[in-house]
Amino acid sequence: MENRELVLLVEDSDDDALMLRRAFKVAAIAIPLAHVKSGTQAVSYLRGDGDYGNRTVHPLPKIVLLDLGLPEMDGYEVLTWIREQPGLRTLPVIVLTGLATGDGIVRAYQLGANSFLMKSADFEQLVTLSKALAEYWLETKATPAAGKVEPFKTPYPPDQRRVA
Amino acid sequence: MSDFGVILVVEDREDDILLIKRAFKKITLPNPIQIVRDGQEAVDYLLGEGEFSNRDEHPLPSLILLDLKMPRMDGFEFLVWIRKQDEFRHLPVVVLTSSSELRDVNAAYRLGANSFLVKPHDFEQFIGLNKSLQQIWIKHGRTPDAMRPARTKQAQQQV
Repeated sequence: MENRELVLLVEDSDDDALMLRRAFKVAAIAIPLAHVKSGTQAVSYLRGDGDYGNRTVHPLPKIVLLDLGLPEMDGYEVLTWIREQPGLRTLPVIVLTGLATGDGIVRAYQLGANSFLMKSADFEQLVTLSKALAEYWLETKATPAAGKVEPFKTPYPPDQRRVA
Repeated sequence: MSDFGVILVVEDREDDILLIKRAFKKITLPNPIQIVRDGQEAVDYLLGEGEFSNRDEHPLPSLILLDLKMPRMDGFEFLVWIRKQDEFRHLPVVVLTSSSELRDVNAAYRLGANSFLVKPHDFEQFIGLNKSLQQIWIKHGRTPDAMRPARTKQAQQQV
């Protein structure tokens, strides 16, 4: 098994991140949750910039939970970037948002989101959601994470960085 | 129209179709199911060709469950096709197959599958799988309203 036993949460709200962390705990999900607070930070993490280059401490995630409304680089831009990276094309990215519009759902799927989930403000609902997430995405063997993913090489040219 | 999106099941084996129907019934999934027998039939269904031309009887799906090994056009070929269609490329496609070969898993994801599920042999486990499928795609999940992109076309035809 590769060293990818991690969920990467991209979420700008500390409160929401904390609530999800608690929900994971209540749902007895053993897999660690790493939290980054912006799209650019998510890119840095996945690209292995600086400290993130230490993959023992910061392993590539098994799945990414992605909020859409993020400062600087929003969730759609993060999705676009991820799908442009050869090593990350099959990384499961699950949108987790509090606000869903018809256009937003279509756009996220078009850009390559694997799934689109609504985060509830209700804690019990969030626990149910976390359990379902773990069952569906983490406890299955048939995720591409279990396979060989090419080493992550593609640099992210800073001049292509889109700032919202 | 039903509030619940149509699930299009693409599966050639009658046994498996029956199994899926039984599982959906058992978990009381409210979504209407439509069945087609291979990739080509799924293409015809989405395009509304031939026997599928009546959209009231054969509404566009909001989720597709796709087997891989099928005659005429297999699951991989169907994935390639659907991801090239502007009207349909956003539709979530969940591969549901008996193969758990990593080669198939990786290929399916690479071709744009949203998720890959392995059919368990045991019925109780299959029920469990369908429950989590329901949680992820129906209860907490949002799928595109498949009628939207197509409505334009239909509206034009009606005008």
